[in-house]
Amino acid sequence: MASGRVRASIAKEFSLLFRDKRLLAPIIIVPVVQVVILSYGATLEMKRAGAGVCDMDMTSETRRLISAMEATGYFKVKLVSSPENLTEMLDRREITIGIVIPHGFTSGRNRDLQVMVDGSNTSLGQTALFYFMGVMLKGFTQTAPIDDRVRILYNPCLKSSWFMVPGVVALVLLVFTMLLTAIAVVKEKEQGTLEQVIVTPIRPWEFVLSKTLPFIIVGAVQVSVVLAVAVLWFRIPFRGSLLVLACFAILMLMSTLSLGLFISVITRTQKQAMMTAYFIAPVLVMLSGFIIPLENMPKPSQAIAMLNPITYFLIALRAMFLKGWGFRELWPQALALFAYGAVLLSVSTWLVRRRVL
Amino acid sequence: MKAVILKEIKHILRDPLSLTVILAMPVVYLFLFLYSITFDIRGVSLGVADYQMSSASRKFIETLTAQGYFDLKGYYPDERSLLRDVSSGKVKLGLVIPRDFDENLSRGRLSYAGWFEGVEGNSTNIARGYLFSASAGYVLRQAVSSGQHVPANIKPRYLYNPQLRSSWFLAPGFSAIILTLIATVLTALSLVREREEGKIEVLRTMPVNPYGFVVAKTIPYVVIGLLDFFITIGLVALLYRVPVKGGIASLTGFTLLFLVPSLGLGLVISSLAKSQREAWLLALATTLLPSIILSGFVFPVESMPFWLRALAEAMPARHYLVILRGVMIKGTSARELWPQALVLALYGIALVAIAGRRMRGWLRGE
Repeated sequence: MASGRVRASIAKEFSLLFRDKRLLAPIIIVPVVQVVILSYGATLEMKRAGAGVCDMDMTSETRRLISAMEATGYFKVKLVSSPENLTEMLDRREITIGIVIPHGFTSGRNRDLQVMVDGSNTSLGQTALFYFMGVMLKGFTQTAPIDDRVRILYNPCLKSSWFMVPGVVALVLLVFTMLLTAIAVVKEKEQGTLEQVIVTPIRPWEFVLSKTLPFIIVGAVQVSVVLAVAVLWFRIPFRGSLLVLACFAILMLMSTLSLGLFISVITRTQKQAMMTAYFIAPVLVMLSGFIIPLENMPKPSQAIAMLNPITYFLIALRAMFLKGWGFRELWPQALALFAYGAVLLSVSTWLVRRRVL
Repeated sequence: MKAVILKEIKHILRDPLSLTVILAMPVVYLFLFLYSITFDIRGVSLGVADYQMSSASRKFIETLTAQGYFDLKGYYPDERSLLRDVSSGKVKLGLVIPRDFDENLSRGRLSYAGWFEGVEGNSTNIARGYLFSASAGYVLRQAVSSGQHVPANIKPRYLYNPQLRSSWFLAPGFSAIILTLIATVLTALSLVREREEGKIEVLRTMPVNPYGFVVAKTIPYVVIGLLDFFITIGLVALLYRVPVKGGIASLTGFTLLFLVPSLGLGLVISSLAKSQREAWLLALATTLLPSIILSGFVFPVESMPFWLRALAEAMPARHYLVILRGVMIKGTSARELWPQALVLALYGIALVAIAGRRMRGWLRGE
C-alpha cells in the first residue's frame, strides 16, 4: 500500500524533527528576532544627526536659524568657533554636516553658506543636506515659497521596516525549509541509513514527499509567527487576504524545498550541505530586491533577479501587505512561481532517483 | 598545540568543496552585490498631469528632468489615470500641476501636488530630496530673475567622497558583512562536529589544555579569513576603484583584530549547540541580518532606539565597519581608531575564553 508507506515515512520524519526539541526554539525565535530587529532598526529616518555650526555672524537671525535646526529633531547642533573644528569633527564622525555662517550673513553682504557634508555615508549625508535646506527655506522667508502637496502612498512615514518585514516571510521560508530539507537527506547519507531506505520499495516521489512535508508545516508555522508579530505588535498593515498569502507561500515552498533537495544531491556531509546553503542564501536574498527594489538595479542584475523565484514572492508579499492586492493583480507572479516550483520539483525528484536512491 | 593546528589544516584540505565555497564566496558576493546594489538613484520615473499647460509649468518639469534625476514617462490627461499608474508602480512619482500654478508663481509661490509610490522607503526618501532640491533651485532662480532678495546661497561640498559614489559607501559595508558571514560559520561547525562524532571522549584521555586547544583550532581559520580579506579588498580596490587611503598595512592589522571575535563568536555558538544543524541556524541568525541591519551598513545607528543601539554596539561588525570606512574612505590614521580596536580586542579575548571554558567543562565530562 503506497499510502501506508508514505504515512509511515512521514511519521518517521516528524519524529526525527521533533525529537530534537532544541530545534523548535530557533524555528520560532529566529523569525521573531528578525522582525524585531528589522522593525526597530531598519529606519532611514534621520534623528539626532550631529550638525556642527560655526556662526561668525552671531546675530539674532542666525541664532533663530540654529534653534530652528534643533527644533526639527533631525539635528543635534554643536557650536564651534572655527571652520577647522568642523573638519576635525567630521573626521572623528562626531557630525554629519558642518555649516559655516559667514560674517555679514544677516545684513546681506555675504549670503554664501558653506556646507560640508560627510560623503562617506552617501544616504545619510544627502538626507542631512536636504533637511538643512528645508530649514533654511522655511526660516528665511515669511511664507514658505514651495507649496509641496505630494503625498506618499502606502507607506506615508517612509518606514523601511514596512518594506522589509514582509520580506522576512520569504527570508525565513528560504533559510529554514531549504536547509532542513537538505540536512534531512544528507544526514541519512552521512549516517549510512540511506541504504536501509533504498532496500524498501519506496518510490522517489514518496521519498521526496516524506522528506519535505514536515518542513511545509515548519514553514506554515513560521509564516504565521512572522505575520502575527508584524501585524499585532508592530502594526505593519496587512491589507491583502490570508488565503492568497497561504497560496503564495505554498508556491514558494515548492521552490525552496526543491533547492534543499538539490543541495542534498550535490553534497555528501552535513557540513558541506550547510556551507552550500550558507553560500546560496545571501545571493538569493540580495538579488531578489530584499534590500533595494529591483527598479534601482542595473539591467543585467534585473535579468538575473528574474531567474530567482524569491523575487516574485517578494513582489507579491509587499503588494499583499501594503497595497492589498490579490490574485487579480498578482497572477503573473503566481504563474511564474508555479512554473519555477513545478520545474524545480520535477528536476530534483528526478535527480534524487538518479543520484540518491 | 602544533598537532591540533596541523590536524585542523588537514581537515580543511580534505574537504575541497567547502574550501572552494569559502574562497569563492567573497568573489561572487562582491561582484553581484557591488554591481547590483546601488543607491545612486537616477531616472526616477515621473508622470505628469498638467492642468496649467503654460511655459512656466513646462519649464518646471524640464528642471526636474534636466539633471537626469527624473525620467519623464509621459503626460496624463487627468489625475485619475495618473494615480492608477502610480498605484501599480508604473511611475514612481505622479506630479499634478494645479490650474493656478502660474498665478501662484507670480506671487512667488511654487505649487504642485501628487503622489509618490512609497512602498520602499529609501528610494522614495531620496527621490523626495531630489524633488525638493530641484524645486528650491527653481524658486531661487525665479527670485533672482525677478530681482528679489535671495534668502541664502547654499554651497554644499561633500567631503571624503566628492562625487558621492555609492560604491564608496557600500563597499566597506559589504566587506564587513562578507567577512562576518565567513568567519562565524567557519568555526561554528568546528567544536560541535567533534562532539557529534564523539571525538571529545578521545581527547579526554589526553593531557589537553582546553584554552590552548580552542586557540589552536582557531589559527588556521584566521589564515583563511585573512585570505578572504585580501581577496575582498583587492577586488574592491581594483575593480571598483575604492581607495584605501589609510594604507593596507594598518587595515590588515585591524582585520586581524576583527577576525578573532568573529571566529570566537562561532566557537561560542559551536560550544552551545547540540547539533551541527542547530549551530548553523544560530550562526545564521546572529550574523546575516544583524550584520546587515545593525552594523550601520545602510541604516544610521544614531536613529535607532536606545536598547537597539546598545545591541548594535555589541556587534563586532559595527566597529569593524567604522574602521573600514575610516581607513579606506577618510584616510583616518590608526591612532584615532583605538577605541574601536580596543573593543574588538576585548571581545576577542572574552569570546575565546568563554569557548575555552565550555571546552574545559566537556573535557572534565560535565
